[in-house]
Amino acid sequence: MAAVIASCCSLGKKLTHCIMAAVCLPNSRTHLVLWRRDCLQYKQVTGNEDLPLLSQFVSPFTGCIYGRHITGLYGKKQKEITKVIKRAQIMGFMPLTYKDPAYLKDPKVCNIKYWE
Amino acid sequence: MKIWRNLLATDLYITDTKSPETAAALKRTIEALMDRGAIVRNLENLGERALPYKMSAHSQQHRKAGYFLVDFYAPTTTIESIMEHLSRDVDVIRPNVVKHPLTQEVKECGGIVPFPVEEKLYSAKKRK
Repeated sequence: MAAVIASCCSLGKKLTHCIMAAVCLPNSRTHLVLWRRDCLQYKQVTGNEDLPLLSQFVSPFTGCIYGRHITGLYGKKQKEITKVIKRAQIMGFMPLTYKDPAYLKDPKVCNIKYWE
Repeated sequence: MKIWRNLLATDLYITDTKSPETAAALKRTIEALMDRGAIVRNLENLGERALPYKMSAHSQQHRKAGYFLVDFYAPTTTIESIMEHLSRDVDVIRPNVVKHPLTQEVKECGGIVPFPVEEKLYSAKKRK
């Protein structure tokens, strides 16, 4: 762990980002949320039903999709969710550069801390 | 024949959703689908909403649109011609055809598999 942090810090640019990641490594991943992150079943494309779920994995400030180290999802699910989010954005269901304001107050699934 | 789902963001003027122009546009679209041998199953109106970002189509920019959802059966070979026809239609902002989600199997996710750290990372191999 220490070795990893040291190598990340030497890059310089992503300093704070790496430290955040180290701090946010979850021990217990049980976020009791409307949708349990561990058991995401099959995804539907039409965003009218799944938009709130997809918006939970998107940053409210920049609209970028959270990476694996933040969402805590394993390989396949992360890939699936990324694909579905991109699809919804291209088809005109989800905004690109921000999070839909209707879903700003959803429960937090990802391990991210915002500056307040 | 496979089941497809067609999602259209259709141009909508600021009049009501029940305007004859939208009805005519929808009718045109579905007739085009049926001309190419598609069997239309279902047509849903997902409401008129503000688009998430400004879209430009056919040398016009749109901020509001009516969203429609069409389920249909069609052979795989005709999808190209359907998409081409829809992209030429002036009233359709963004046509999309997608595989119907109900046809996809629900794969049970096994969750997060425990990773054997010692085996994979700290193996006692001789390094030259």
